[in-house]
Amino acid sequence: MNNDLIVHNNPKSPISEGIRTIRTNLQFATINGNLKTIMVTSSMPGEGKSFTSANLATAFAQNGSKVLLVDCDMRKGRIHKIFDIGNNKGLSNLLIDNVEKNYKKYIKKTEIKNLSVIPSGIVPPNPSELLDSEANKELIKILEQEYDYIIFDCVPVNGLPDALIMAGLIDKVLIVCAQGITPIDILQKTKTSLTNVDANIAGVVVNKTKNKLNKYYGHYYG
Amino acid sequence: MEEINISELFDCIKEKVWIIIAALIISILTSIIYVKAIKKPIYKSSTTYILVSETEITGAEVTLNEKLIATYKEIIKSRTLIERVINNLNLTNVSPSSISSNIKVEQVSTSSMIRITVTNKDPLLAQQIAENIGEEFRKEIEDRYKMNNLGRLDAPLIETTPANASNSKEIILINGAALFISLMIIFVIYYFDTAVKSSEQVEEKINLAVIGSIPLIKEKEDK
Repeated sequence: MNNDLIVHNNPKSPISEGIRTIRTNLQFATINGNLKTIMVTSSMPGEGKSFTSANLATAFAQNGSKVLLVDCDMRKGRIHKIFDIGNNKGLSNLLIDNVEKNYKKYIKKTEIKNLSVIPSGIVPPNPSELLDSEANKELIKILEQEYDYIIFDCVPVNGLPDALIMAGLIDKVLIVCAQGITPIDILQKTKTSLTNVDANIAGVVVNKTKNKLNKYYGHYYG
Repeated sequence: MEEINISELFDCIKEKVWIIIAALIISILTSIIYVKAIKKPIYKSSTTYILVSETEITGAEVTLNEKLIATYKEIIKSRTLIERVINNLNLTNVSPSSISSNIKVEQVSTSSMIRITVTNKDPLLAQQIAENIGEEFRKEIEDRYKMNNLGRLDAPLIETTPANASNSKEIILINGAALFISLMIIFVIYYFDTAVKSSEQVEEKINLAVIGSIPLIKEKEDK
């Protein structure tokens, strides 16, 4: 398994504890509302979306929930690399197929119990349109019946409409930003773009933090 | 542009401490090179003269002496006297102003004593100029003003140790400047760094809940 799956490989790591905290906060934040579909996005590439969504999906699965992780980045998705599965049949292929009949063929099991993955698939010429299609809406409806949690790893908000399209179709949006890297005004733009499409933002995850607190709390039980 | 958060500033300094270390290494090397290779020794030579009073000291006398000392200071550093010294010592390629700027005349505390201090690269020359200017000064007072009230107390010596032998001032200055400049650089970096600095900043400025943070840990199994 890939080194990125810290929650699986190194469950006592402070990173794993951080991921589990996010999981708990998400669950608590929506006691009254719906939390089935969660979308992970960010402002720019490289802030840690795929890392966060893969580990978060694993964390939910470790809790006993039936989880599906969908790689919506049909341009440069790397979920299939993280879970070491093939990418010649994935979301892009599924969305031009008969979704209702054949969707199960595109869901891949992983080494982690209760966690399945739909990889991004072969790079299509029209990723944004595929996400905006009726087939996608139908797919999400079907998947919601079968899984406890569905996590969508999406492209960054700035520059592409894909994330904004997806934001209108799912319950909660998680924004990932990187300490020391993401400019604060770009993060503000990201928030504005999402609120403009009435997205339901669960909150922000700050990645790559370098606080002194890491030293105190990080290895409390480790 | 932004508020300045002191604890974030300290974190930034801690993170960028290598700038301070690099600056200090450069300044330490510079001070060593300066002290060993560049700094030139400077020698001083001092001589003192007393205003001798032939009559009893009264209040008026003391005030008069003060005024005299002020005048004597100017006389000692006058071009006339210095040109005589240059002649006496056969100094070539030396301008009166360069000699004059290296002569310090001061009243010793509140007494009726004058100290003449000459600074020069050459300890012998320092002593000779001090000796010469002192005596030319005394002659001038005797001849022109017909006053016999000057007595020499300390004759100038040829010093063996340079006056600037102590390096502490330069070392403190060079290293202090390095420290200050590096701190300024870090401060400017911090001030103009627009990246996300903390969860608190995100919550305050963007008004979104931070529902978690993932630390950056370089583990062996990590990517």
